[in-house]
This record gives sequence, structure tokens and C-alpha cells, in this order.
Amino acid sequence: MDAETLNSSLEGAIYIPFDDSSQEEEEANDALWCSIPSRDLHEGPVLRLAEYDKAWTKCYARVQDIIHEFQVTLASELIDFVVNSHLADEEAMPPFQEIPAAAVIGDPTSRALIFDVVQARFDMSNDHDNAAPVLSCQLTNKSCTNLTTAVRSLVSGFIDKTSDDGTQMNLDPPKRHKGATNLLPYDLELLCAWYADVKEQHEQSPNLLVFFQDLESMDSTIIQDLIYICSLHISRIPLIFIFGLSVSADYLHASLPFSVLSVLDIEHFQIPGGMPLFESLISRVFLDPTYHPGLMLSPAVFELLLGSYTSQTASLNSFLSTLQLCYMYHFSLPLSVFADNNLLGTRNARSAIKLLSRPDSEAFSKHLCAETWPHIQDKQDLPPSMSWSAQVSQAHALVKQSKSVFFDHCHKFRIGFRVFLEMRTFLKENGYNVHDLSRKFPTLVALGLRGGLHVREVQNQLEFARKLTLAQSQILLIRIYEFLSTPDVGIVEEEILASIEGWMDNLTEITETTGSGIPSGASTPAQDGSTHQRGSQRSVSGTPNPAESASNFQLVQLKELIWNTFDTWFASHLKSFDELPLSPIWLLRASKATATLLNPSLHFTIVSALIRPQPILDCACCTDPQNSLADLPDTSVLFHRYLNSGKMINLYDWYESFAMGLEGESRGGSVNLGSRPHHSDAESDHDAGNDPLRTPRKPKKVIPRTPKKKIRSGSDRDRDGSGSEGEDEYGPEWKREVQARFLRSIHEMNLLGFLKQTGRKKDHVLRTVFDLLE
Amino acid sequence: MPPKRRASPTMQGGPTPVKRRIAVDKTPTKSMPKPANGVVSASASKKVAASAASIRAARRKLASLEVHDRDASDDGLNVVKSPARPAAATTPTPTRHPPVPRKAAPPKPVPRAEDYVQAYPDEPEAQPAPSTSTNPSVQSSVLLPRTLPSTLHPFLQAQRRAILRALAHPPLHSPESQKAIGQLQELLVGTIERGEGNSCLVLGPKGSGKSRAVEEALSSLASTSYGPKQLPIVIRLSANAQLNDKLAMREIGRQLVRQTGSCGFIVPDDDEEAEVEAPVQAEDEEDEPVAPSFALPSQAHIPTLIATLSTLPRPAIIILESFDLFATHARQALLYCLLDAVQSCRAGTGTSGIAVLGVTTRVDCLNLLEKRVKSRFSHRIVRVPAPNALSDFTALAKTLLTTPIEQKGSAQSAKWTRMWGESIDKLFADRTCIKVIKETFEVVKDVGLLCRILTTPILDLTPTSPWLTPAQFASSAETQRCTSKFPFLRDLSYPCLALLIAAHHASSAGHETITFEMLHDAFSRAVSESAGINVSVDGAGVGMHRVKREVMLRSFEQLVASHVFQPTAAHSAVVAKQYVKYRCVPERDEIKNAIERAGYTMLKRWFTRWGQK
Amino acid sequence: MLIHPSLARLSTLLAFQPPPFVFVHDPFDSLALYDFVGNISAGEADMQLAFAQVNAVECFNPRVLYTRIVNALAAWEPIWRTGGECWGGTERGQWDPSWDTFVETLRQLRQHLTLNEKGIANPSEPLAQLPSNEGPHFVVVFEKAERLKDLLPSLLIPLTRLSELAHIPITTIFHSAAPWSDVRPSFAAAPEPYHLPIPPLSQPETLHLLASLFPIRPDAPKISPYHSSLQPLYGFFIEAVYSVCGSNIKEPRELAYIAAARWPGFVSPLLEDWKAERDRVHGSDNEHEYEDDVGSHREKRRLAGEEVKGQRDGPDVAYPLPTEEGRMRLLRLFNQTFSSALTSLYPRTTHARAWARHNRATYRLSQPFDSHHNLLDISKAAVSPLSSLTRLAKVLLVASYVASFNPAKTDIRMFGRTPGGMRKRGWRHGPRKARKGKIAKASKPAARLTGPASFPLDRLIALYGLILMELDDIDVETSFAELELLKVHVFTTVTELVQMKLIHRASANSSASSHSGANSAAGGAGEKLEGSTLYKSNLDFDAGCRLAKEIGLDLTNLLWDSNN
Repeated sequence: MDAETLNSSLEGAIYIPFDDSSQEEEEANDALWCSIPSRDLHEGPVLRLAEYDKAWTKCYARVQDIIHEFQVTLASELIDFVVNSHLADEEAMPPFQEIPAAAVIGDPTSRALIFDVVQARFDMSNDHDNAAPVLSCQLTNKSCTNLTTAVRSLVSGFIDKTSDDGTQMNLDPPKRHKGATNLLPYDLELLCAWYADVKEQHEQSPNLLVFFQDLESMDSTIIQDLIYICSLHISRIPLIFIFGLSVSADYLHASLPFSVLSVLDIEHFQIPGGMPLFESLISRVFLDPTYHPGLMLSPAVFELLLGSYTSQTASLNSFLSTLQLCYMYHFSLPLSVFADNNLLGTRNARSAIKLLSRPDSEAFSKHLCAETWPHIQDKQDLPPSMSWSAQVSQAHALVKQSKSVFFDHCHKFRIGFRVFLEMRTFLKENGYNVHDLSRKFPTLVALGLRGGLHVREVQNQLEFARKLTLAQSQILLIRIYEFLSTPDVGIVEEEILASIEGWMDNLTEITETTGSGIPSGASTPAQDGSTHQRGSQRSVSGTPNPAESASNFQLVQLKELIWNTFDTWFASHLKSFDELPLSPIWLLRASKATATLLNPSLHFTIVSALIRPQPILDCACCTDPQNSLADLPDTSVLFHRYLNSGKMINLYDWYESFAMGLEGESRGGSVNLGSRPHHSDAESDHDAGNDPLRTPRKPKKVIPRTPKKKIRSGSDRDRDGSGSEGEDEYGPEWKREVQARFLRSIHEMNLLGFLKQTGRKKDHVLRTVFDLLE
Repeated sequence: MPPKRRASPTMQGGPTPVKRRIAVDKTPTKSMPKPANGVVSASASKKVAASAASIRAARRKLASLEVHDRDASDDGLNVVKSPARPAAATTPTPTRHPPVPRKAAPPKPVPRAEDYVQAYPDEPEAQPAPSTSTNPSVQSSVLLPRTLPSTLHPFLQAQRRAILRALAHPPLHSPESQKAIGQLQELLVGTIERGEGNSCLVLGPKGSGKSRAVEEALSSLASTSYGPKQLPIVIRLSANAQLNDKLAMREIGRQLVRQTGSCGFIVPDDDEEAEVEAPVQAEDEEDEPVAPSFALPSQAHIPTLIATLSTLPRPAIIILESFDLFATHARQALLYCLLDAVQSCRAGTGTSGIAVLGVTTRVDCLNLLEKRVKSRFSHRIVRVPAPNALSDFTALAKTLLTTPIEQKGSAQSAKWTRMWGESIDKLFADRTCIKVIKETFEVVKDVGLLCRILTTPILDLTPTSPWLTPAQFASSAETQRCTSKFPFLRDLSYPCLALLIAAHHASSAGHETITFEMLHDAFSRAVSESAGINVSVDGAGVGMHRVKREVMLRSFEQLVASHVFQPTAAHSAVVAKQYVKYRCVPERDEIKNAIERAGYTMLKRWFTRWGQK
Repeated sequence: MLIHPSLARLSTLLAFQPPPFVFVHDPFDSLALYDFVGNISAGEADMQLAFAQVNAVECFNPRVLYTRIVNALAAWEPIWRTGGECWGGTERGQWDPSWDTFVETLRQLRQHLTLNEKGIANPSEPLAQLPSNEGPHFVVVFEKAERLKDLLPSLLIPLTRLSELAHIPITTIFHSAAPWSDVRPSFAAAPEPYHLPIPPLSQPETLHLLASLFPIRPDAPKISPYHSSLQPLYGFFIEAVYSVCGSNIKEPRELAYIAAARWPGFVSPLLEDWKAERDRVHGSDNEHEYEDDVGSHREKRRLAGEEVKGQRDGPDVAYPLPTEEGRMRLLRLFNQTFSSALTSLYPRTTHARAWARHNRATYRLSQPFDSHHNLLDISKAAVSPLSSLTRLAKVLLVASYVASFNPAKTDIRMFGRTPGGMRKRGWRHGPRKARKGKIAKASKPAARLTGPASFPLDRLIALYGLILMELDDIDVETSFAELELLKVHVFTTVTELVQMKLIHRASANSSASSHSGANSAAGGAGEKLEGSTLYKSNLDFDAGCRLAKEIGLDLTNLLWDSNN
């Protein structure tokens, strides 16, 4: 695990636990953090942690399943690619044998997963249905530092497998004569000899599979030689390569010469990722009618997910961590304790209410009541003076029922959204592929979660739906019907199903009465019959017959009816979650903090901390606003000087200004040397701490812009170094302390990367940070 | 000029087959009749053309070569064995030949058929045909048949074999080299018979036959009958193989062991080691002398080897190839020890003599030696000069070519030798041939090079073209002297040529280092310019058709692979393929000729148009 | 076996009088499809020849080289049971990898072979006396000899002098694509070889070679692309391919590759006809067998077997080769697919099997002509693979491109301009003013052509900020600019891009410096800050433009000399 991997956000995170036993209970408290501690239950954190655990594990499992499905398909493709290579092929018989190779493209983590799946498949399989078993070995960039090691690790990768573990076809180890000259471990002849032996011992010729974990990190010159060498023996050892690439297969073309490419026969395998993965995750975790995650996305969370996925890291890990953070934040809110049930971890409702009406949880209960109050129906017949416990129990009851309300709506929303998408796809298939339908999935989801979908998108679609021909609308209805009549959807949707059935009958009878009147491409056999006879009718009477026009009118009526019903249906299904009672409990929410947690700006934080250390180290002394420079920690004093100095800083001038910055405090009490200064001299502020002239004057004195000025400053430096008794009165030990503190702060800043030594001038340093915004 | 005109009637037997043979492609035939006035500044184009032509001719001849080898060989047998065969000899041939055309893949059906006619069907009457042609030739002995009668095929084979043998070991018959050999001989004799310690330096230019001189001296010694006591131990070292003194010492030890069987001076424990190895290979004994050599490298004794040299039962002769490189070894320790041993071994003190022969090409070799080494070196220097007169050179060539063949006696062989000599005389009468030899001589006085030049034409001889021609000479001289680094530029594909032109333009615009991007950019611009002018030329290369970038890139890589473009910097993985900097190696006129001969009109136009700019 | 004319010459030479050292200069890889050793061993030799062919790339290590040569000369097949023991392993004990032992072993090998040949084992005879004219003559062929110089520099000279150093009759043959002057060691330490230049094959030779490569399957059913009866058509096909691709490709290997990829498609219309014919004769009892061969390979084999049976028992149908007119139609159908095959197969943007799979021809020859104009041409999806990257990565990539293709001193002008303002146009015309006159133009090629320059991380970040400003993602005036620019994700993304080789790290201390590179602006260790890590963009112009378009920019506006 070198610096690269540590830095890449594609890698999984590494957690180095802080092992200091004294800190443990603090950590526990930190873990059970509450956003609003004032109005929390007493044992709220523990309960909420349990809730969070339940909810998150559920969600996580779901995500894992989806990912697994994604990968299994690809892995199986890979597997039968590997198994079927090196078989005779009618397609094309090149005049020379190539090395079959698969370029697997995707981010490293998912690649590694898939490779493991494939390899596991072949490792455990000494008795599966394949034509030939497959032996495999892995090559990483560590094993390919030079050509010798590369070939050695390739050869040994196979040979050791057979010699040691019994899982695969194993050979009896060779008996070497002492002092004999053998083939070298980095000679491919050895592999050939070994393979010949394998063949004759097991009467079957296994393919040899070589994984190149990630090709980008390997030295291309070595790789190309390695591939070339392998190509010399391909007729004797059926090698198969699998290259792991992160962006595109173009890397192969960019890094390998054509002479090497021409001995390969490359197939591309793209690991599903990017937007499709994201969409399927969202739609199958949160918008799948057949699955209920227990919480619902809020628009904010969705946009957070979307943003971090599309613009920062499009990896599964980042998606998961973002989602998890949102969960965490959500369960840091007091009310979320009700997310699963309203029992508050007690056995039954009564005890829960008892717990609520305990004095120590009064704040919480008040909060709860305040939340529930607006949603309580028939307030007037409540007794005006209602006992506290009664209110609590009422609120408590309301939690339960509003939960069922919320979940029902979630279900309906999912169904509605699905139907919406169904219609959309159908319309697009039937050529209504116009601008109004051009919105992409993410925007639709965002709209839908806001409840804004019904405003415009649904209307557009319904407009188009009204324009549909008879046959088309039949097909569409059938589709919707089929979707809605799936078991776990059907239960909530009887009435619409019933009405659809009704409409279908009407439509069919319309088709029977009038056929060709409706401009429909698709024609049912019934239609044909009718057109035929009515063709003869029309021949006798040229005028359009009334039945037809009537049926047309009827049809239009019917369509109006249908789509208006759907309009109301959508309106009820797709409305937003916010106005639901107590929705904050189940509506997953995010805060700005989450985003910054995910993607902090270290630099900015450090600088701002140095400029205004008070909020960071919140000790009593530093919090008061009008304290002066001298009370800041040394480093930040130094940093202030740094900020208003020039591009180059003369260390001595810097030191002087720093020393002057500390004068006041030293006047106050130079008694306590060494100890952390400004805590102690918090009280010494008023007498000397705020000398108004000090801060403004310093910069002009400090900044040596031109050499000439520097000389001057140098001169007057040693003048007041000698002449002025300003420092003599403090005594040498004070000087020494100042020097020590100066040096320490300088080193701190150096560590933080604010200083840059110049080669030319030893006593000067360069600034690295400029034009900072205060 | 008179001699030429007089020669012409006799010549007609000679060069006319050339005409007929080359008649396939026009270009060389131009260069064929007038190579005489093709002076030293004969442009590379003609050379390339000539070489290509002769190579093509060679191919076609070789196609039918095996055929003739076949029945030639067993006809040869017939001559020796029984008169009954010839009747039989003709009959099997038709049955045998069908596989032949498939084996010796003649490219087109056309030449195959033609060879065919030459080879077989008219063989019966080809029999009388030469007889009629040779009977006069017996009197006038000028007329050479254009295709060899089958009866003479064995002689042609024999002749080729003999000449190739001779070329492999050219004689050192120049007086100077004989003198050198003589000196070496007496020096060695002194060492062997009187046990002297001798050291000398064999000095001579490359390819002048220093090593051969040494070998001849040694072999002459071997021929003179010495007892097993006196038979010298010869140790050959080469600074090219023995890169440092340690290796050299070990090699000395090994060679000593190999020649003295069990080395007398190795202390017994080493023999034990040898015995440890011995039982392993007890079954096959031919390794017996060898086995100790692997037991030998007991580091303890390596340094003492030199000292023990003089104590050996037999005199030792140590030959140091590329002596000058030995001087570069650390502290010249090996040289010091050897020369010291040489100096220390006194004649007549019973110790057997040592001779150290250093072979080098460096004239200033002695100056490389440190003082202590130099002081121990007897400054005896044997010079092996290269043939320093054109006459010797030509004479050598001629003697090589007229090497006598083995089977003598029969009238046929006499006739053959006469005809062959005739052809050789004609050859050396020809100006081209003279010029080739002269040029070769002027470039390097290297006999080896001469031999290599002579080899190819001999190889190309077939019964259908049995006589050496000047053209073959010229072409093989071209190839063997590598006058042009890239003889095949004209055969490059269209994209490659385009890239060459682009590179040329870039260099003429002042960019010596080129990247693929530059070339491709120039090419695509030229294409778009030429899109305006569309010229319809029949045959290849109508207009500058654009080529896809990837194809260009691959063509570029091909040029890089054949070192037409050479990278200016060491390869680094950081630089992307299309930005690696290269230098275009071929000169302007090479490119020019290539373009002109390749026959892509638009490319030529592009080339020239820029030339004017 | 195919005999290459020039190699035939070499074989004669070896047969008569093998020279010590031969250099085969083969610039066009014309011998790729020939069996080198088989060719040069063709001539009937006076003495017994033993061949060894080693590849310089594979024998990157002296020991490998030695073992290979000795084993090959001894025709010794190492087997696994004995741990891959080499020739003379046990008897002669372990070799040390030195040159001398190698030569020694060669001598022993020669003696061994000679004695075996004579059938007698006479120990008394020492090695030296072994007459050089009897016993086998060794021939060692080095493929890719041009690589010897960098792989085994110390062995180059000894190998060229092998015969004189070993004192046994042995011929060293270097087979190289580079001219001798580039292969030979510095100062004339190597003897001059006998030069054998291999000219590229002429057209008839190439055609003959390709036609002879027609892969006849002995077990092939009557109706399959590889049945021997199709050979004449194959010849015709080869000529057609050559007429299209011949001017662009000279390597027979590649031509054969293209031909192999195209052939099944080319004959399929004819085969369709035949199938139809056969079905007409046999009746449609075994229809299912003749489905188009899309199924798995194993099934295909089965089908092949059954077809053979079907052929045997059923009354054989006459399968006529297409008439001249039929051939012309085939040509008309496939002519432009030849060129498309060239452009996609020669650079290996697709490989033969995939290509053949993508453009099958699924119609019959006897169909009316216009009915099959759906000539399938794999139109590769134009979506750039980089589009899967995140927006941040894209912006950073564009920034890196700008950073490495603009001279650093022009950045100031870039920052000076206002987005969309007229200064920008002035900026775009700036270079034109700068370059007036041909001399200046010729003096320096465009940066886009000479390749990327390297830039420090800070410059990349700054340009990244600039581009964000262009896109109005942020406005630099607000105090959040720093916040935006120096986010952690920016640096991690840079690191990823470096890992993906989309940005190269050009600095020398590349091992650890990516870490510092990512951290430097966020405050890494002091000395790492010295601009120590330099980066280079690894995009080419088109990719850069595509990315810029995806994030909604015009790259040429950002480039200093975009107009030439």
C-alpha cells in the first residue's frame, strides 16, 4: 500500500484506530453524537444507534445484492470467454496463432471483485462441466519490476500452484539430480516442460489464465517484452491474458507497439459503472415498488448523492459512503428514534408513553407534541385543558399512524413513478421523442421527490397520450395493467385496475364497431373483417357513415376520461412527502456538513484556523472577540506577520516582529516560561495586551521589499539591537524563550508547507500562500 | 575503343543471357549495357536497381537450381559409375520433377513454365545442341553455351564447391605474409626446441590475416614431427571473451587441463575433487579429460598457474587475440605475469619454453603497456600487411575463382576447365568487374571482403546461367560493402513513403527531430491541398488518397522498427507514442531515388513541389 | 514448405561451405511467414548440420541463452520430471553461467555428437585432435538480433566471433530488422559478416505465398470456408485483397491476417447458395444443422461432424464455383469492406475474429443484387471512453492539456482576459501577430505537434480554477474560490488520473512524489514543495477537444497556437 493507493479515492478507506485507553468513553460519546442535544431523550443516542444499525444494514445489503447481480453477469461472460478460447473457430483463422486476451475495463475495486469471482470459479473447479479446467496466476506491478522477475513470477505462478495445493491438478514434484544444470526459473521453456507433463498426467489440456491486475501501473516496456516472449510459445502453452484497465482499452494501443498488439486477440469487457449503475441503484433501492428500504430519499439527499457521484468520484464506494453519512446524519436527529416503531425500545406502547412522560425526557416530548400538533384532526373536540400525559400518548399514537400513512404514500409514489416511466418509454418508442420528454432520469427523480413531477412532465405525457391512436392506447393500457396487476402492487391499486378493465372493454368494442376510421397502424383481425365489409358499404354510399364518426367521438370521449382519471391518479400518487405528518422521521435528510465531510478543503481549513484560531481551540480566553494578536498562539501570530509580508521574508525581521508581538505578554508575566503562553496571560490582556498602535505599525516595519530597504532595516535592526533598552529589561531568558517559540512556530509552518527555502539566500524564505481572503 | 569492339563478338555469349534474364523489368537493363562508363559516382539509384535486378534474377535461377542439382548430382555419379545409366537418368527426371516446382516456389506460373522448357523437355535435344556448339568451341574455345548441357552440371557443382571452399580459406601467398609466417615459425621453433621464452606482437590491419598467419605457423609445426614430449601446448585467449584476468586465468587452466589430460601441477586434493566428479560419468569415458576441468576452478591455484607454466613438461604457446584489450585489464596483471614468466625462463635450464603471441590491429599498442610490463616485453613485432597492390588483389581474386576442381582426367572435365577459365578471363576483361575490385581495394584492402563479394555470384550460378557476369559482381559488391544502409526504400508502402517525404520536408524546413504528429500533420495537409488538383494517372497511386491516422501510425512504427527513423533520446514511458522524437536517417538523394522509383505520382509531385519551395 | 528465394541462397551456402558469420537484414519482416531454420536447412549439405534458433528478446539473460543454444543443438527436450534438466546436466555437473563454460560445453557437445555418429566411443582421443571436417557443423540463428545490443551487450562481440573463439565449425546467423551498422558493436570489434539482405516480396511472390496459406481443413465439411474445393476462388480473393490493400501494406503477414478475417464472409454468399442447393436435393430433413454458425464452438464442431456424415451417405451435389460474373458480383459486394478491413485490422483497432463476427454477410450470391446492400461495416461507437469520467476529472484533464500545450508565459494573458469578452478574441489572434513571416513559422513547429511540456501541480490547479471560471462554475472573486480549488477531491482525482496514465508524472523522483504532489498545496513536507513533481498531459488533441466539448468548452479558445 504505497502513497498512490493511499491517495486514490478509488481505494477503500483505511481506518487507523486511535488506541488511547483514556479516551475511550469520549469516543463513545462522539460516536453517539446528537445534533440537538438539548431536546434529546436521555438514552436517545443508544436507541437511535440501534435504529441506524437496523436501517443501514438493510439498505447496505440491498445495494450489495444489486452490485453482485451486475458483476455476476460480466464474470460469467468472462468465464466462458476463458473456457472457449483456444478452440477451433470458423470465424477467422489467422495464419499465425494469437494469444486470446480480454481487456476488462472498470475501476480497480470492482475489477478486483470480478477477478476474484472468476479466479475462485476456476480454483475450486477441479470437477466442473467445462471442456478443460483452467489454471490461473496473477501478475501485479510488484512482480513485474523487470523482465526477469516478470517471467519468473509468470512461470512460478503456475508451477507453484500445481506443486503445493491439492485444489487444482497437482503434479508430483520433480526429482532433481544434485549438481545438474536445470532450466532456469525465468525461462519459459520450464513452463512448457511443466505443461507437457500436466497434459500427459491429466489427459487434458487446461488453459493457462494470466491476470494483469492493473496494466496502467505496470511498466509498458516490460509488459510488451513479456507478451512477445509468451507469443513465441503460444503453440505449446495455451495462455490467456486478462488485462485490467481503468479507463479505456485505448491504453493498450497507446502503450504497446503494434508488433506486440498483433500477437494478441483482444476482446473488450466493460464493467458496468457510471450513470447506469447509479440509476439502477437509486431506482432499485428507493423507487422499487417491490422493496421498501424503511426510509425515503429527500430531494436534498438525492442531489447530494447525484452531485458527489457525477462530479467527484463515480465509484461505488463513494456512493455508499455518502449514503451512509446521510443515514448517520438522519439518525442524529432526536425524532428519528421513531424510524422503525414507536416503542422506544420498550416492550409495549404503554411503557413507551411512560418513558416519554418522564421528566427527564420532557424536552423531547414537548418537541414531539409540537411536531404532531398541526396534524391532529378535530382539535376542537379536544378537552381544552388536556393533561400532559394525554397529549403525549396522543402524539405517541399519532406517530404510529402517520408512519403507516408515510409508508403507504411511499409505496404509491413508487408505483406512480414506475407507471410514469412506463408511459414515457412507451411514448418514446412510438415516436413522441420530442423535447418535452427529453429530461433524463436523475432530473425526473429530483423533480418527483420534490413532488414537482405532476406539474409539467405528467401533463406533457398525458397530452401525448391523448393523441395516441386506438391501438396504441390499447397497448399502453395493457402495459400499465400488466405492471399494476403484479401481486405486491395490485393490492393497493384495485380501483384503477378495475377502471382500466372497463376501459379496455370499451376500447375493444369500439374497435369492433369501427375499424379503419381510427388511423391505427396495428390492425387486429377483427378490424380486418370490419374494414372488408365496410369497404363494400362505402362503395355504395360515398358519404362517411354516421356510425364511424359517432364511434370516433365516442373514442375521443373515452380517451379524455381515461387520461383525466390518470391525471388525478398521478396527482395523488406523485405528491411530495413534505406535507405528510411527521415526515422528518422517515424522510432521509442531509445537511451542508455532510458534503464538506465528504470533500473537505484542508488547505482552506488550515489557513482559516491560523487566521482565526478562536473557534478551533475554544478555550475561554480565546473566545472573546476583541482580544489582540498577542493572545493568539505563536504560530498564528507568526502567520499573521507572514500574511502581510512580501514575497520573500527575511527571517531576522520576522523574528523581530514576532518578538514585539509578544512584548505585551512578556510584560504581563514572564513568570511562567515554557508553559503554553496565552492561556496563562489571558488576564494580562487589559494592561498591555491591546496596544492599539502595535498591529498596524508592524507590517511596515517587517516587510523588506527591496534589497536596499533590507539593508536599511538591517542597519536599524542592529541599532535598536544594541541601543534600545527595550529588550534588555526583559532579560536574556526571555529572549531565549522567544527564540525557542519562534523556532518552534517556524518549524510548524514549515511542516504545514507555508515556507519554501530559497537556494540563494540562506536567511530568507519564500511565501507559498498569497492573496488570502480574510 | 578497339578492345571493347573486338571483345564484343566474343562477349555476345556472355552478356546476352544477362539481357534475356533481366528483360523482365526495364530499369536494370538500362544500367546493364553501360556500367563501364558508370563512374565511381554512379548514383545509388543504379546500384539499387542493379542489385534488385540481379537478386530477382538470382531468385528465378535458384528456382530451377534444385532441379539441376538433383539430376546433376546423379549424372555425376553416372559419369563415374556406369554408361548404362544415362538412358535411365533421363527417364526418372520427368517423374521426379513434378514436386520440384512446388518445392522451389517460383512466384509466377510464367517463369516456371519457362524454366521448365529450359530444364526438361528439350533435354534430349539439348544434348546434341551443346555438342554442336562445343565442337567448334574445342578449336576456337571461345563459345560458351548459354545454358549448360546436363553432362557438365556435375562440374559446375564441383566448381562452385571448390571455389566456395577456397573463398572460405583464402591463401596467404603474398610474400610479406609468407615472411611473417616464417618469422613466427622460427620463433616458435626456438621456443619448442631450445626452450626459449619468446614474446612477440603480431601486428596488421583488419582482415589482413594475422590470425591465419599464426594458425599456419602452428599447423606447420604440427606437421613437422615432434615427439609427444615436445608437442607444444597451445593456449588461445581472446580479450573479447575473457573480459577480465580472472576469467582469463580460469580459461588458461581449463585449456591446460584439456591438453595435458590430468594437469600435473594441480595438487592432489584437486585430483580428489576430480575423482568426486569422475564416478558420475564413469560410463561414458570421453569426458575423462574434461572432468577435472570442472574441478579445476579451485581459486587457490588460479594465480599460481602462470608461474607453473614453465614447469610444464611441454612447451607452452599462448596466443592473445586482441592484445590491446588485455592492456586495459586491471593493472595489466595478466600481461605482467605472462611476460615475466617468459623473461624468467632461461634457455637450456631444462624448463620448457614459453611463447606469448599478442595479436592486435592497434599500431600504438605498445604505448598502452605500463612500464614494468613494457620492460619485460621483447619488442619483437611481426607485421602481417594487407595486400598493398591492386595487381595482387586482382590476382588473388582470379586465383580464387579459378580454383581447380577435384575430378580430373575425363575429357569432359578438361572441356569444363577450359570453358570455365574462358568465362573467368572474359569476366576479368570486363570493366565493371575491374572497377568493382578496384573500388573494393581502394575502400579496404580486406581479402575477406573480396571473398564475401565473390561468394554471392558463385552461389547464384545455375546450369541455366552458368557463367559469372559483371552485373552480379556489382550488385553483390553493393550488398557486401553496405554502401546504402536501406537498399529497399523504394519498396516501402505508400504511407511509409509519405512519412519519409514528410520527414524530409521537415528537415528541410529546419526541424531535424521529428515526431509522428508533425509528419501526420504535414501529410494530411498535403492531402487536403492535393484534393484540389486531381490527376488521373493509370495504374498505382492516383491522387494522394488519405490514409487513416492509425494506419499511418503503424507504418511509422514499421519505419522505426527498421531503423529508418531513429529515436534521438532514450526511450521513456512518459512520452506518448506519437510524441517521441526521431531523426530521419536516410539522406535526401536516397529518399529522392526511392520516391522516383516507387511510382506514386502524387507523392513525387508532393516531394518535388516542396523541393522548389 | 515454402522456400524464400534469398534464404535458398543461404541454404546453398550452408550446404557447401558454411561461413562463420552471416547477417540477414530483413527490414520488412518478409520472413515472418517462413520457417527460417527449415528454409536454410533445405539444401542437401556436405556435412551434418545442427541448428539452434534463439530469440534475443527471450534470451534476455546469458544463462537462458546458453541453455537454449546447447539444448537446441543437442536436440535435447528438457522434461519436468527431472526438473527440466538441460543437456549434459548430470554428467558434466552444473554449468556456471560464464562464457568459457558455454564454449566448453559446445565443444563437448560436438565431440559427443561426432562419437555417437561414428558409433564408437574412443576415450583416448583428446578433443583437440578432433578433425574439423568431420562431425556436425553448428548453426546458431539469433532472431531479433538488434535487441542483443541492449539486452546482452557484453555477449555481442563474443557471439559474432563464436567460431574463432570456440575453435569448432559453427555459424552465427543474425536475423535483424535493423541494418548491420546499427546492430554491430562499437569500434570494429566484430568481424564483418556475410551480408544477406532480404528484399521485400514482389507482388507475384506475395500472391503465391498468400494463396499457399489457404488453411485447408482436412476434416472440413464440403460446405465450409476451408474446403479444398474453394482454393481457386481463394486465389482470386487474394488477388482482390492485394489490389486494394497492397499499396498500403507490404508485410505479407498483415495481408494474410486481413485475408483470413475477410475470407469466411467473402465465401458465405456462395456457401449460402450451396446450402440452398443441397437442401433442395436432400430435402429439408436436416435443415437445423445448417443454421448460421453463431452457436458455441463445440456445437459447431459437432455440426461439422454431422455434415460430413450427411455428405457421405447423401447423394453428392455438384457445388459449382462461381462463374466470372459471380466473382465480379462478389467483388462488387465486398470491395469496400476490404479497405474498411484494412483501416480497422491493420492498426488492430479490432481483431480478426471480432471483425469477422461483426461483418458477416448474411445473403446468398444468387439473390438479386440490390437486395443485399446492407453492407455491414462495424461503425465503432463514437462515444469517447473518457466520457465515463467524472466532471471534475474532465475539467482537470482539460486543464492539464492546456497546461502542457501552452507556454507557461502565456498564462498571464489567459488570466487577464474576461470570459467571452473581446480580449479573448484578441487573445486568440495573439499568436498570429506574434508569428509574422514564414521564417518565424518554419522556425518552430506547433506545440501540438512537438508534444506536451511538463508543468508543476500549482499551475495545473490555477488553470483548473481558470477553466471553472470559464464555465461559471465558480467566480474567482468570491471567497470560495480557494475553497473550491483546493478541495481534497481535486488532489485525489489528480492522483487517480496519474494512476490511469491520463496524466504522466514527468519528474524524476516519481516513486513517492505523487503523494507529495497531491499534498503539496495542502501542505506536504517542506522540501517536496520545490515544484519537485512535474506532470505531463497524456491526451492527444482530439481527445482533449472531445473532453472540452463534453464539459461545454471550446478547447481551441484556450490554446495559444490553436490555429495552424
